[in-house]
Amino acid sequence: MADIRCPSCGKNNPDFLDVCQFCQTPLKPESMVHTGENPVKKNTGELEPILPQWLRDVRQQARASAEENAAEEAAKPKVQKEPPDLLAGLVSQTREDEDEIPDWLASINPSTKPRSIEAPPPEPKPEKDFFAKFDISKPGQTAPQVDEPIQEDVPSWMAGAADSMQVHEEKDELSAWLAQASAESDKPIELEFDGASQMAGVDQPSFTIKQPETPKAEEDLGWLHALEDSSKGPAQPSAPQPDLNWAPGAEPSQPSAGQEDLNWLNTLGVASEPAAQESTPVQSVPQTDSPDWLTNLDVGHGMEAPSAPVAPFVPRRTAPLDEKSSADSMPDWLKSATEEPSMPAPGALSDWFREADKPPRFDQAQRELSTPQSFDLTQGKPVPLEQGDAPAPAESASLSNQDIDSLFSVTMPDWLSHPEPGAEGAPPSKVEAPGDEAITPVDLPAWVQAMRPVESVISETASVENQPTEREGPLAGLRGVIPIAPIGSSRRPKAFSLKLQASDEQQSAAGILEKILAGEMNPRPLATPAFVTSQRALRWALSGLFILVLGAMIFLQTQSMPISAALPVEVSNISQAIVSLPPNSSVLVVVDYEPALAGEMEAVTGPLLDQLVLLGRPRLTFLATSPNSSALVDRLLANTKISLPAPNGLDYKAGENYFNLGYLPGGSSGVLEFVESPASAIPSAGVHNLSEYAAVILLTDHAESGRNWVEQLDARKRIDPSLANQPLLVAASAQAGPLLQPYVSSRQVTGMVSGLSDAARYEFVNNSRPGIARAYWDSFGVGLLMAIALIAAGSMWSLITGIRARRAEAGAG
Amino acid sequence: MRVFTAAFAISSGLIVLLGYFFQIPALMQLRLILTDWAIVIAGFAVLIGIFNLIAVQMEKIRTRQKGSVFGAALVLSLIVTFGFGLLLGPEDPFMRLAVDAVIVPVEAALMAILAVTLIYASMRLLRRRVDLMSVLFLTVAVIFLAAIMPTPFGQLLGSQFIIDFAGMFSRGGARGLLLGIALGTLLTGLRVLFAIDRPYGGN
Repeated sequence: MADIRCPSCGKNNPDFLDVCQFCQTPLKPESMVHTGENPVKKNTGELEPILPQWLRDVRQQARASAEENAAEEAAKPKVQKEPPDLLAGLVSQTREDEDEIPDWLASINPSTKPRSIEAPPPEPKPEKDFFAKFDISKPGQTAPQVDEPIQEDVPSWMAGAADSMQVHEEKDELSAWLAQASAESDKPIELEFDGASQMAGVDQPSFTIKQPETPKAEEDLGWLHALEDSSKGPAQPSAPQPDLNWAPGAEPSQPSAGQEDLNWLNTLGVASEPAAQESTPVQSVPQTDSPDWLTNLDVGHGMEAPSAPVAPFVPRRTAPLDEKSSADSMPDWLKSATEEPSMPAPGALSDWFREADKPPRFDQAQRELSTPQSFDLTQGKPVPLEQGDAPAPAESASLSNQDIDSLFSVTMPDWLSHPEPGAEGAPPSKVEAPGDEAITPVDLPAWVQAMRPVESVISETASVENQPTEREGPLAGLRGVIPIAPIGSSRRPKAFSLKLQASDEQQSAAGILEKILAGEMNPRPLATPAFVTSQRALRWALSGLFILVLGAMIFLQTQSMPISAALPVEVSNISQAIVSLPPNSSVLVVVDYEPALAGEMEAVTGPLLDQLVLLGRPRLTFLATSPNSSALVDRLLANTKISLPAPNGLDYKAGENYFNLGYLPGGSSGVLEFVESPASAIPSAGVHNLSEYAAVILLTDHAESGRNWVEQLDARKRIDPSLANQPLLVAASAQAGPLLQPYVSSRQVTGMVSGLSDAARYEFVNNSRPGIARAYWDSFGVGLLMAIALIAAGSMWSLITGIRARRAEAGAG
Repeated sequence: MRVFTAAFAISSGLIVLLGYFFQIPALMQLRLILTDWAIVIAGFAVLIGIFNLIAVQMEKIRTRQKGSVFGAALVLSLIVTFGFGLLLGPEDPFMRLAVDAVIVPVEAALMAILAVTLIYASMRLLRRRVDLMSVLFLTVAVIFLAAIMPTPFGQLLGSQFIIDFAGMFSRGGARGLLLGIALGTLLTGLRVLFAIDRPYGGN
C-alpha cells in the first residue's frame, strides 16, 4: 500500500485515508469541498456493523424510546423553539432554501465531481411517485452512463451506492476510513430487478443486489458476524437476507459474509430518500414489496409527488476488509473500539446521543427526506424526477438556519438513529413535499454550542456570498456557516485594560480628594496653646475678681444702694392675699427648688413667709416635690428666722407650728393625687381635702414643676367650689418667673414674687424683714455692674481681635 | 403581652381623663388607685436609680477605672448618709448639717461657676461669630441687666420702660412656650391613648 505524505505535518498516511491521521489535514485535494462546489452525500451505511458496541447500544436504546415517543411527538404541534443556534448567521437566507435537501443528507453527500458516467438528459415526465420511475426502466437494462454529478439528485442511501463508481470518493469524516477499509472490491453491488415480483403484480420495485465475489477478510469481520448474530437472533434469515429485505425476491449475489454488512440498508431506507440511482439494471417491482422504510415514508404523506425515471440503481461498492485494511490500517480509536469497549455505558452517554435518537428528529428527517423527491429544489416547485437524477442540494442554495440546526440535530445518519424495521410494508408510492414545516430545532450538545459562532462576529464578517464554502465535515458545501474569524478567539472576552480611563479633570479632582483624605488622616497639631493658656487665665481672673469684689461687699454688709418702694402688681396681690388669710389657718407650702438656688429662693421666700407668720400665725405644712427639697425646709425656716427662737425669730417649732410632709413622688401624678386626696397621697398630711388649706404657697425655681401645680390646682378648683377662694401664691426664682408670668396674668396664680428684685421691694415694704434680700442687694448690684462691664469690654476686645485674626488669615491666604 | 400592656395603658389614661369631666365616685376611686400606683412606682424608680448609681460606681471600682476613687467616695457617702437618714431621720441636726454644709454650698458653687462661665462666653461671643443675632443678643442682655441693676442712685433712667418693654417679649415668648407645651402634651396624650406611641414598651 502506498503511503501519502501529509502536506501539513509531513507524516506518511495510508493511501485510503482522506485526511491525515495525525493532523486531520486533507490528504487528497479532491476530498475537500472547494469554493463553489455543492455538498455531496456520503453513504456510511455499510459501516454500521463495525460500529463500536457502545454506539450500537445507543441505537438499541433509541429504538426502544423511539416507538414510545413517536406518537406523542408527532401529535405535538410543531413549536419553533429557538435553542442555542449554532448557525445563527444563516438567518438571512431565503425561505425556499428550507425546502431543500435535508441537512444531514447534504452534510454526508460527497463532493460533487464530474463522473465518467453520463446520464441521459432527464425527461420531465410526471409520475405518481418516485418509485414509479423504476417501472419505466426495463429489466436487464443497463444503467446509462451519467456524466453529471449524480449525487446532486440522489438520496444519500443511494448516493452512497452511486459513489462507488467514482474514482475519487468524497466521504464524511466518520466513515471515510471505514469505507475505504471495506471497499476493497472494485465490483459494484448490482441490483437486479425481480421480475417475478413484478409479474406477480407487485407495484413496488424489487431489486437484487449482485455483488461480485470479493475476497473475504475472515479475520477482520469475525466480530462483525458476532455482532450481527447477536443483534438479529436466530429468527433472522441468513446474512444477505436482511440486507435486501426491502426488496423481496431479490437474490443475494454475494457471499453471506459480504452481505451481512448490508444490514444497514434496512434502517437506511427508513430515513433516507427512496430515490436512487442505479449503475446496474434496475427493474421496478410492486410497491407492496417495498421495504418498510418506504412504507414509513408513505405514511403521513398524502401528497402526490411526481416521479420520473431514474437511472439504474447502482449500489455502493463495498468490500470486506482484507489484510491491507486490517489492524495496521485501522485508526487507533477504532482499534480500541473494536477490541474493548472504550466508551462509557449507554446509560452514561452524553446527552448528545440521547438527543440524536429522539423520534422527533427522526420524523423531521424523514419528512425532509421526501422533499427532493417531489420538488425541484432549484425552482421550489414539484417537478418530475428524471432518470439518473436524484435530489440533491442546489448549487447556489444556502441552507437556512433551521436547516443547519437540523443538520446537527440529526448528528448521526438515520441508519444509526432509526430503528430497524421489523416488518415489511408497502413502500411509499407517493412522496410529499414537506410544505412549510420547518425543522424543529433541537438542543445542541454543549460542545457544539461552544463552537457556535457569535452573532456579533458573524455580523461583522462579510456577507455569506463572500465567505468560503466548507469543504469537509458535516458542513461541507455550506457557505458562511463558520465565520472567518476563529471561533475561539471571537468567544474570548475582550481584554479590557485595568487602568482607569479618566480624564485630566477627573484625575485632578481625584488628586485633590487624595490630598484631603491624607490631610484628614494626619493629626493636626494644636496651634493655639498660648491662646488656651490665656483663656484659662481669663477664667481664673474673672472668678477671682467676682470672689474678691462680692466677698468684700458681703463682708462689709454695705447697704448703700437704695431699694424702690414701688411694689409690682403681682407682689401687691400676694401681700393682699396674706393679709386676707384667717389667723391660725393651715397653709400648704410646696417646696420645689434645688439646693443650688436655695440662697435666691430663701431671699425671695423670706419676706412672704415673714409676713404670713407675723400676721396670722398659720400652721405651715411643707411638702417637697423634689428629693432634696425636703431637707431644705428647716434651712429655709432657720434662714428666714421663722424657726429661730424669739426675740430674733418667730419661734416656729417643727411638729407644732409647721410640719414637713416630706417628698411627694410621681411628678404630676403625685400632684394630682395630693390635690384630689391629700390623705391618700401623704397619710401624714392630716387633711382629707385640699380645701382645708387656707392658701397654697408654691416655692419653685423650675417652671415645669410650677406649671404642674398651677394646672392641677386650677383644674381642681373648677371641680371643687370650695377651692374657689383659695389663693395660690408663688415665690419663683428669677429664671422661672417669666414662664409663670402668664398664669399670673390669667389670674390662675394669685400673686407671685420673682427674683431678688421683687423680694427686696417686698422686704422693704415689710419693714426690711427678714433682711436677706436687703443683705444681697448691694452685692447683687455690684455683681450686675461687673457683669455688664466685663461683657461689654470683653465683647469689644473679642470683636477687635477677631477682625485682626480674620485679616491675618486673609493675608496669609 | 403587648396587647395587654397597650390595653392597660389606654384604659388607665381614659379613666384618669374621664375623671376630669365626670364626677362619678367609682370612677374617682379608680382614678385615685391608679394614681397611687403611679406614685408608688415613681418612688421605687428613685430607689432603682440610686441602686443603679451604686452599681455603676461599684463596677468602676472593681475594674479600677479612671476616677474610681471618686466613685468610692460617692458610694461611701451615699451609704453613710442613707444609713444615718434611716436611723436618725431627716430632722436630725447631723442630717441638716450634711445638707447645709455639703449639698447647698456645692450646688451654689456650681451656679456661681455657671454665672462666671456665662459672662466669659458673652465676652468671647463676638470673636467666634460676628453677626446680627450675636450683636443683638449681647445688646439686649447688657441693656436688661443695666435696667434691673441697682445703683447707688436708684434705678437708671428709663429702666422701668426697658423692663416692661423687654418683659413684653419675655412674656410673649413664655406664653408661646406654654402653648406649645400644652399642645405637645395633648398630642402625646392622645397618641398614647390611641396606642400610637407606646412608651411603656412594645414599640
